[in-house]
Amino acid sequence: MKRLLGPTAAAALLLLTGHASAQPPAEGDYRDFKGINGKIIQAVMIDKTADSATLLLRNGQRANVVFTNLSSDDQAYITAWSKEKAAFLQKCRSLTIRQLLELRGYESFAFRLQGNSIFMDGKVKEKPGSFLIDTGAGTSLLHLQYAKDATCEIGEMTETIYGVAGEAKAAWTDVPTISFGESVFKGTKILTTDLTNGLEEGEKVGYDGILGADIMTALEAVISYPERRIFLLPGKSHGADVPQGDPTTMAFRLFKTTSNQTYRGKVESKTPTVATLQLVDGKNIQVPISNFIPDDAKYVTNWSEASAFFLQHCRSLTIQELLMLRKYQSFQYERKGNHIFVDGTLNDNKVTYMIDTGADTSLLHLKEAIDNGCEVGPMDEFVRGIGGKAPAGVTTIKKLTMGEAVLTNRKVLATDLNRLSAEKDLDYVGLFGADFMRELDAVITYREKRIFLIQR
Amino acid sequence: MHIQRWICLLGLGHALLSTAIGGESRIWTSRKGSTLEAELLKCDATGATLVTKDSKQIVLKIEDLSLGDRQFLVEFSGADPKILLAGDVGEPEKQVRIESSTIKKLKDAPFKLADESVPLFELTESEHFLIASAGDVRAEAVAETAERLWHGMAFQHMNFRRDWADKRMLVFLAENRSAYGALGEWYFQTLIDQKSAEAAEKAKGTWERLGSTSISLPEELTKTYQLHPQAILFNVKDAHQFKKAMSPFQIHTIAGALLTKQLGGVSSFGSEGYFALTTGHSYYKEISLGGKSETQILSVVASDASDITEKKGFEDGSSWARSLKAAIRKSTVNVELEPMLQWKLEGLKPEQLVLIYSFSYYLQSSPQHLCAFAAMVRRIESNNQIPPAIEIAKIFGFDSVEALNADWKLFITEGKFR
Repeated sequence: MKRLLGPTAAAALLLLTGHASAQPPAEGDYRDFKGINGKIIQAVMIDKTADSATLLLRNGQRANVVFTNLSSDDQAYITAWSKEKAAFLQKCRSLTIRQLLELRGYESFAFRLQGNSIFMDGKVKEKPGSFLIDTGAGTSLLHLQYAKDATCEIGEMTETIYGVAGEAKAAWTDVPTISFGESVFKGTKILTTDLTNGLEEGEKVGYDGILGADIMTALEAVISYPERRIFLLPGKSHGADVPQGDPTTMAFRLFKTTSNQTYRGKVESKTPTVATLQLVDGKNIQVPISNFIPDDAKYVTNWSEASAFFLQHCRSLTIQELLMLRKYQSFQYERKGNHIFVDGTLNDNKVTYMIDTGADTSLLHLKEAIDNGCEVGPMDEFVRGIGGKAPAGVTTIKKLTMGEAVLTNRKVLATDLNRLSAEKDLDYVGLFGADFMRELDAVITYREKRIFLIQR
Repeated sequence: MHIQRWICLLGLGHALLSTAIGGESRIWTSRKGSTLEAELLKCDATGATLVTKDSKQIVLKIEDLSLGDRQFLVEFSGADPKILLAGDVGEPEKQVRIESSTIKKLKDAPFKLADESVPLFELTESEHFLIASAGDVRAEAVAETAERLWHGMAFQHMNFRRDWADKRMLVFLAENRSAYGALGEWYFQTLIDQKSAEAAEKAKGTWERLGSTSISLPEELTKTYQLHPQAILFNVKDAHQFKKAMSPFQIHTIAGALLTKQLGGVSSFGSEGYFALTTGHSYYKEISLGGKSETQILSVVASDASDITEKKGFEDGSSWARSLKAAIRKSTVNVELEPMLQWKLEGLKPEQLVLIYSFSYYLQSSPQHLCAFAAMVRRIESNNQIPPAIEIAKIFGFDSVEALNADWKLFITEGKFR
């Protein structure tokens, strides 16, 4: 429990200077500083000297505190703190992940929510399709009918794939091109399976394929639930128009026109009606602003030299720094194969969860649910997915934590996630699904291997 | 999208060239319903500085912004959560100005259910709704009610406008009996085609008696008209209720449909409390905005609809508070959340229905409660389950269900419940 210092204790720690602040800082600026005696005071750091820091207290007074009177964590924070960086970060507070990533050449896509599942558009050859964005799928998949409609060459159903409800047959399929916006993979093989397996009679598959962790890893994807967007880095695909690793690509973004022309460039100058873009090859072209798609036209209309200068400096900002400004917590996740895992607790026992955006609701492994003290009801419900449908029981979780996020009194389903290899124990307790990630406004980054969460 | 002129501007005389950074724009909404598409530049305790499409800076007062916008400022710009409590609860549904020019009949676009030779319904379009009407009704009045209630939801729930996207909700308004009959035949067949024969039988059994309901649209229809999959149906028996906007029955039905849409459905194991929350909300909006209740709810027990009962509270709603207080004094009903969440329509007593209403009133009775209510709706939207009583208590800032019950009881007996 955090406590504020009483006036007497605070005076022992701080030398109050009595200046009132003209403009109160935002709530998110406050930090808990901890004295060597364990007392906590909430304040904003506003300046420092060689041996002391100036803090702005909640009551508006300033106080000087000697480094050595603070905890080692606070001393490290003060050492790393710079006035210039703090001022810069203040200006960055309203920057979005989209703005930050587009500065780095990412292409951004609004994803569609259906229930808690998230979808984006893609194409196999020239056939448009809807793809489930699924961090829990180690490899991407195509629905059999979609692969046929796209006239792909489908092999024999000799492969076996595994899902929450069991296994299913799949075939390696030659895919001449698969694309998501500007990201294009050429001459690949992707598994194809019948995604109607497990559906009720007459029920339609609501999507054409699964965008799995293999492609998302390759494209250094970022999934942002708060912005409802996925970001992909086309420069990492076969369609890359700039060399990978070229630091100058950071200065360029993608511009699209209404006639499907795409430019990678940066705005050099503009008039009210025409933008001059400098392309990656150094050439300049002029494009009427009205020719851009609406989002890019807006970007160009709002562009100014001053804003461009500011954004140049923002490029060095990391997603972590940006989200820390908004009080997100973050975890380095562990990658096993293409799956991602994060430690947490289940009813106060330390456990590991698989992060799965493809799980509409979180799901526990039956044995682990029981072993960790969850109340599991009769197995009269079903889970459905690859492999058909399997029995599941309504399970009450008293407490689940991931970092500082605490979820209490939740109902999920539990099923046997290990039904195909019972001789081996699973090394995770279940799927941390899209329901909890939506609730905690999760951001998942494949490049930094981090997941960010915030509890509202 | 139609953008109305924002009328609560500060700093208009200081329109400055912006140093905006070309990012996410948002449609900002005032209490009075004015909207403005702009990007957020910065926010402090008193105002938000926005940059418009033409690169001008505008400063808006925090208390003039919708609750949803203020929530956005807290989440995306680190604004102090105290701004969520700025201003009073108000009645954005009444305060919003609906321009009559935004509601128009589509004269050359008759609405066809299937391939009937003579169209049975004519269409009226507003910004977020499509009214298919037949007979002696004023579609414009219902469209206005719907738009007012839509604004109330957009005001309160941060994601409501975004979730709604550019689709419309279809509202059938059938006074003409043959049109209503044909609509029924079409709907029963649609259910059978969707392999819901039991639902079709139930619908047949209640079709003539119901006043309003929600129906699922076939996919082709939703695609043709860019519609949400759930439509509202009014069986207009008393045309008087549909001559003016904001009549109680219209409010009850549409408010319930909008909340249901925002909740997004619940799982089979997370539905306990769904009836109480959605029904209570409908009655709360009906009585608080319409002044009284005109609504009875039908309970269908048997699958062939042979056992139908009607439920209502006390009289027309004007005596509900008084009667509930008396019932509490006599212990005919207890102010307890846990059992209330388990109540269903079957067997429901009038005083129980009124208690359900009082709970929804209580949940939206102060700025703090409104914020908590919005948070609860958001939780249900992602979790697909109604939180158990202890979690509702926590969301509303109580350590225990008992503490919430006590505060709720105080609200009924000594607070502003009326």
